[in-house]
Amino acid sequence: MPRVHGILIDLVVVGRAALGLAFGVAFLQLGISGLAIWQRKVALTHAARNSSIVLAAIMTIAVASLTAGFLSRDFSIAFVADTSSRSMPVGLTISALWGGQEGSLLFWAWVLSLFSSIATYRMSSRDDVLAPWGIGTLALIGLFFLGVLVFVSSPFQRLVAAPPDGSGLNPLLWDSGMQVHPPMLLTGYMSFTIPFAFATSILAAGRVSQLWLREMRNWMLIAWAIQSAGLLLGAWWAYRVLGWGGYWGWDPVENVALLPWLVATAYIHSALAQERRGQLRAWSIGLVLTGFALAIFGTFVVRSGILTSVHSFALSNVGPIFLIFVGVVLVAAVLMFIYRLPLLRTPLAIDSFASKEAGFLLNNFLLLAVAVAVFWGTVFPIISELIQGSRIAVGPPFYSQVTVPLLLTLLALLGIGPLLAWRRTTLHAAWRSTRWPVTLALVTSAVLIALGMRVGLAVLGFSLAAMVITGALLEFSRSLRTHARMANGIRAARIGVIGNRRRLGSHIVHLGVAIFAVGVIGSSSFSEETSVTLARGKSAVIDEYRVTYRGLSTRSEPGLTTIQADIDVDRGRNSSSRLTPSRRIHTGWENQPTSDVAIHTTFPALDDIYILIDDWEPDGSSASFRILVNPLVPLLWVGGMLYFIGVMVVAYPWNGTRRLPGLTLPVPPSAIR
Amino acid sequence: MRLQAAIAIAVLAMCMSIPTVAANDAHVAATYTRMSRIASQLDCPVCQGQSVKDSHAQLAQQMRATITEKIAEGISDDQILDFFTARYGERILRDPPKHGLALGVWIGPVVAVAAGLAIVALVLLRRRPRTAPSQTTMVDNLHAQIDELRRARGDGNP
Repeated sequence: MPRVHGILIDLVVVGRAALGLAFGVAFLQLGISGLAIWQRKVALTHAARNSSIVLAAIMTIAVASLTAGFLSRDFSIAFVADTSSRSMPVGLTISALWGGQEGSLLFWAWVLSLFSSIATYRMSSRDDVLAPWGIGTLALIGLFFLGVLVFVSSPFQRLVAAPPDGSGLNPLLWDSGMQVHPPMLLTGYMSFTIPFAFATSILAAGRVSQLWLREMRNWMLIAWAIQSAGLLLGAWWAYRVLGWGGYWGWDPVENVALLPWLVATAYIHSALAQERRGQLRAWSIGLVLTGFALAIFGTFVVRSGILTSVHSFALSNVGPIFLIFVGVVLVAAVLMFIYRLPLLRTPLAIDSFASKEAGFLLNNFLLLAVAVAVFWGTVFPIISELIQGSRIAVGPPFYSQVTVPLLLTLLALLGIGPLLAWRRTTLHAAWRSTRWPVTLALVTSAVLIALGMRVGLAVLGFSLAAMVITGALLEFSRSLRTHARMANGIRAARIGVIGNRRRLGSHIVHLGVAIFAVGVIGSSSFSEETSVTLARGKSAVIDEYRVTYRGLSTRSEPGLTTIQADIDVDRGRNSSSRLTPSRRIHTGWENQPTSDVAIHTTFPALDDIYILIDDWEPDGSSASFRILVNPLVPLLWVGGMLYFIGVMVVAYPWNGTRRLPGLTLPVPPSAIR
Repeated sequence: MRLQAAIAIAVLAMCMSIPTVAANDAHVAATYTRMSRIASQLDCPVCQGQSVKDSHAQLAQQMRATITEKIAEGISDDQILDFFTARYGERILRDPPKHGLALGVWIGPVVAVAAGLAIVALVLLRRRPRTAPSQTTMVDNLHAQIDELRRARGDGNP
């Protein structure tokens, strides 16, 4: 127990008191919101809003006490003893907070309380009728999580006898990636709650306002951005640490994280049609509800163990309770949605195949088709176990066969869709705006085939990516030319940049996606792999690289033994680079040695040479390695960075966008109803 | 991408001093390629979501060795897969079989895509606005005209 000014602080008591108090405040907040709806008093709405800040403060105390428990190595707290040990460095010890179910839930609820205190403030300043409904929804979800934390799965369980040392995290998680990826993904899942609260308040109150819809869009954009970051960090971590040579394995846990992202991406596009032309409004709200459902599905599927087996799900203490809660919330939301459909429905009249609207429709269809396929593949083993008692495995071959055609079509659409105008484009105009990208795609195919590339899907994919990149760059230069044409320098440039910021950002995002796609296509079509046993001083050749084994060194620290191999990689005449893959053997986890991959990126070929130790002679006279040459993987990280720059540009101006002077138009009446 | 790959491998193969060693190496490499292709189709029974090829688990290592032995005995790929299916059941196949209950996993996405396409086609084909020409359509038309003017000015898509 930590001692402050000589006074012993019992963290279990502090933590439990904070969670109990938070539960009470959430309950109160729910009551006040109900009263505010009933009595229609703004003062009550404000009181409910302010409770969010109190809630966030109390939750912060709870998280702080658990963190203090980790830092003071207080192994009388069961969660601390389960997920940390004395040999773990400080940074890693703090990240053990999300190393288990209880801590993850606490983190989720804490971040929800932080987001809620901003969201409720913005709700109450946007709409007096809708705000109490939105605040009430957030309070209800917060209350559920706090209920689980207080009554079912407490992170502040006390051990009768504190062990001298904790069992520590699984060595696979002993990595700096642990400090960023899990919290990002948990925050991503959580952040779908906020737009959900906005959507349910529309359904419950039976009222729509443009301001409210726009605010909902902003929150969905945030959720989408965070989820994207979580996924990308996950891919990077898997590639660098898990040591199987890839970055995405269609693992169920990855799939459930992808699902809300797909739906959010569909929403971001349909919301544009709703904002601009008053179309697809009901559809967009439906997507927000679906996104939330999938985010919650993801959070708990990962924790409940249902993916390993239906039986382990029944053993998990939170799974069933959770399923009931989500079921009730979603059934209520869907019923309200159906009831309010006449209010939300907007005329969907698409004038032409060659229009942005038609593009958004196709985009939504493709993204949702991918989502349905991935969802179906992920839950099918569970269904098959329920029906016939044994599981049918659904592995990467299924996902790639089903999703690749859809994703390639999406890439093609990404090249053409953004270049089309709203409503209708004459065929001539459509050709004029797409001729360069289409031409470049054809040229790319011809060049690649002439150079000897014989993988059909790769030729197609690279060509489509070339089309997207050309289209995005053309749009870019077009808006820059417009700026240049505007006379008075700085002012015009500023207006131009701000006015077009969202469009500019979307082109950057699309550019990032295309570059990312090139990386995915390159690495999945042309990766080479070999397994070799080398005596000291001997070399092997893979692809065009020569790999030479120089020797082995062993380093021992308390609790950890590291075996490291020295390897030189060269391309014949060039100077060589030293790579040091290693194996870590942690005390207490001897049967699970973790592999530290060594990766060397070559320029300008952009090949990743990826080396793992498989086996070794204790004297270092020879060792076995798995060597992969993964082409173009660095483009994933380049594309990812560009994507985020684009997201920042899109998300920056929060209160709407300014348009060019003289072109400002009233919102079409069809958009307000 | 790996345009020079074939050439490079050929050149390097020639560089290898003793032809018999090169032949032996080529044989080993071919066996390895076959082994990893088969192993990547098998789900590691003791790990979560990893194939026999990618897993570091003891059992997966043994299974890889078994595959290599069977290849050396001259058994075909399909027969090796059948051997493991007989031993561990169909759940060991990463690619779900296309018969029986497992057919369902393949049908699901096909049905979804067909239904989605039908809806999209329906919406696109029903191009007439349901409302009679009104102020709404007039304002929309105005928007479209302004979009076209902007486009003519070189302002891109509004």
